[in-house]
Amino acid sequence: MSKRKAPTNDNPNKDIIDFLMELGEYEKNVSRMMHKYKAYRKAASSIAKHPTRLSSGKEAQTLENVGKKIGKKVDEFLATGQLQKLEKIRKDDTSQSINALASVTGIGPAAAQKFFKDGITSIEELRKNTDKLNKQQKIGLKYYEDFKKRIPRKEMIELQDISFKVIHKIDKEYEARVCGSFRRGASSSGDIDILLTHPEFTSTSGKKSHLLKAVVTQLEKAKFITDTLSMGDSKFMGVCRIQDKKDETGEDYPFRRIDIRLIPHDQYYCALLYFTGSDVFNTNMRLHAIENGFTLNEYCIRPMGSTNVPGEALPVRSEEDIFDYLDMKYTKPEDRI
Amino acid sequence: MPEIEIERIISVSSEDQKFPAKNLLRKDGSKWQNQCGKKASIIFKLKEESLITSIHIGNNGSAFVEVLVGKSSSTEDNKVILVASSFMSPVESRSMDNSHRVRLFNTDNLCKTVIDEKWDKIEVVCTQPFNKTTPYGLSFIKFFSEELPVPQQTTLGSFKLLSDDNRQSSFRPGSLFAKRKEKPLSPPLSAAAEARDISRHIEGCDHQTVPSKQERNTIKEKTSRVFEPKQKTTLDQGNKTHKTLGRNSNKKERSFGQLMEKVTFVLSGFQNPFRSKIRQQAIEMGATYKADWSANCTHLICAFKDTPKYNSVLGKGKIVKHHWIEDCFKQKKLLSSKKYRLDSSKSDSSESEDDIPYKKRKQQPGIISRPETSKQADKRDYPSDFSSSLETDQPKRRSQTKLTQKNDSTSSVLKNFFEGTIFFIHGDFPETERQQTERYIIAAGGEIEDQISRNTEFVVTMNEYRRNFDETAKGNLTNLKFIKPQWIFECHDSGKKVEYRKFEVK
Repeated sequence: MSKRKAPTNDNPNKDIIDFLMELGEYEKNVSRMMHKYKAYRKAASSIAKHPTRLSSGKEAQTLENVGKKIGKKVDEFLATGQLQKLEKIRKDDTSQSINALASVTGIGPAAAQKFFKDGITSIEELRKNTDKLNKQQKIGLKYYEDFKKRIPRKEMIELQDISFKVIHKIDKEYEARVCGSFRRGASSSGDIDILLTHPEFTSTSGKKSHLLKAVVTQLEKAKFITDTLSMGDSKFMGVCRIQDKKDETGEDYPFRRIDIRLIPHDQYYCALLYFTGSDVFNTNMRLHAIENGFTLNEYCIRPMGSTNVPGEALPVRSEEDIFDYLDMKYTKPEDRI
Repeated sequence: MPEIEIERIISVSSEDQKFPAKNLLRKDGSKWQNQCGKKASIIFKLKEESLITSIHIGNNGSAFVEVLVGKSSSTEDNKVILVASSFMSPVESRSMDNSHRVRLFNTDNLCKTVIDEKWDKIEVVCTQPFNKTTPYGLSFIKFFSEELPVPQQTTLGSFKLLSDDNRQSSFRPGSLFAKRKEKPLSPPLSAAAEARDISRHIEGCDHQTVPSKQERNTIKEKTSRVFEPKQKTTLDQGNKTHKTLGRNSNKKERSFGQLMEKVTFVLSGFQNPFRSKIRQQAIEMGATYKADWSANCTHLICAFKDTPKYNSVLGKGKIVKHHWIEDCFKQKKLLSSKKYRLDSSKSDSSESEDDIPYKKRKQQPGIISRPETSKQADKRDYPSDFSSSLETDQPKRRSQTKLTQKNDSTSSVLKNFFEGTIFFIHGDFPETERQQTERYIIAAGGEIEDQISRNTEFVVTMNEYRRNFDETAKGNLTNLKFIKPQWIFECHDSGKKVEYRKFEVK
């Protein structure tokens, strides 16, 4: 998932959620405990749904995904306004450095630890050692400041309009949708994630990489896409920017991370559901699917056979169809927390 | 592309009385429907092991249909040949629109790994998760087999030599019973006699190739394999007869507190207080509790799969659900743990499952080891012990074998002498005995009901006459007859409905 998760704003438990997320980042990047990271994220997500200010760890524990230990941490935080464990981590140079390095696009926890071992402990030092970076990391470093900025919804809409105009000029049959937090109605996004499909491309038609190539080429020609991080048959990752305009403050628009995925037409809605997220919503929905005797992933929904052999992919013509198979009420993207 | 003939329905999870599963065997378009809220799966037995290259399914309200295949000669789990396939969308299911869609599946749709093999058992599983209030099922299902090159099969006289790739000898319909019949006449050949018999056949048969010595040896191997099922039945039947005889005395002697004295069990996955309840019940029935699995343990009572203990015991001992203990406790008898197994039938064969009751009988002197004299006196009820029969003179037997072959061909056709007759099985039966009885009844076209109804004609029971029999009979119909299971066996042996009065429970 994206490195640029939206910070929580007007939530009564904002400070609690933030410290849990910080602990989660630490577990992910420094101690490499993905399951602890997930546990913190899940707890934070549950607390985010809670409408009122938590008064105690015990109250927190009544929520889903919040157990004894996190309850205790909430208690400690409410009582003292801080958390011993977090203070320790904040003071620890190692974790600070690794966290900083891992915030660069193209550098994951593993690479960050490797650089740290090699004596690179900050972004500045990274700039001095560009020979140690690969192509993606160099781009990540080049736009480091820009990539850290969140994209306001207004700009997201502009980015969407520009790209869709180009795409539909190539072929009206293309269907494109911006997913991620933007589709969930977020006021700002970390990057722009476009799902693309074309009736010509289905799961049985074979690769149709020219469909993606044409779009990327045209977006490059329109000076919208500026850099390419990676380009495959069905997925493009790169950098884009609104070129011929200045933003409200009269500055150039920042460079933005953009992903474009070409999805087989018959798998489009499962992909749309998946890439709209949130990841916690997806996890829960998949669990629900299993309970109801189905298996759901980003490609398809299948019924589970009597010996746990998944059945054939079910026809899906809309996101609603998927909810319908699972006997769930349709959840609007804005409500998929 | 010839249609594969379905011999019969082995079992069905549930059926509507108006739409029974056997409708699917008729070609007149009548349907099968389950009872509302119950599972809907059918197991068919094909006439012979066949390649399945195409399946045509006519729906009757199911949302998904899955087809699995297996072999009756093997205890392996059924394998999926057609993954759960969609026949109705949720919207259609709720309104029951388009409930009779027909879909045709060919080799492209069927599981590649499974279509190259021959199968004779087919399980069809229908589900309808979108509509819980309407019964559903199928309107038809047909299986087709592509004409394929005939597998190389050498026939020697009337022996069929199985090629190596399909050596798991296939049961032909009725062959089990036919073999049962031939047993008294023909004790199995000794290996030497077989070899001689075969070589003699080889010399006289159409295949002019006389096998080399080495080849002859392999033939011997194969042939003995062909004979295996027969030998097994011989023993089986022997055992069964003893069960019948030894049963009553046996039953009385086994008190409640000794029911499970041969059981040493370990618990896994249960929490108190339920854990202690199961343990207490088992111990009251004489079982021994162990905290951890060791070599002398017999059962793991397990709450769910994949517990650490489950994984360590898998393959070493029997893993059963807690219902086994509870049901034994409730019914005050030792039930076969087979039905309660938690591990899918991989490690244990059905025989080993019978271990416990079997050992019990062994302990009672005079029950399992029958007197030498009776063996000779009544060869029919006590088919001679397989091992000892090997030692008797061989030339005679060879002629008997030929006779048997003739018998085989005539009696392998099932006769429906119980057609339209409804049975009810009453009281305590040892598991194998019950199964055997049920099989014989079903094979002859009879029906077995869960309860005595107006239509019930025979009550099969091992119990002595008791007063409540009379009451039952009065409460229902006067033509209700109580008979011993021996009658069923006798009918089978004779291939017809023999006079039942001799076997009536007085």
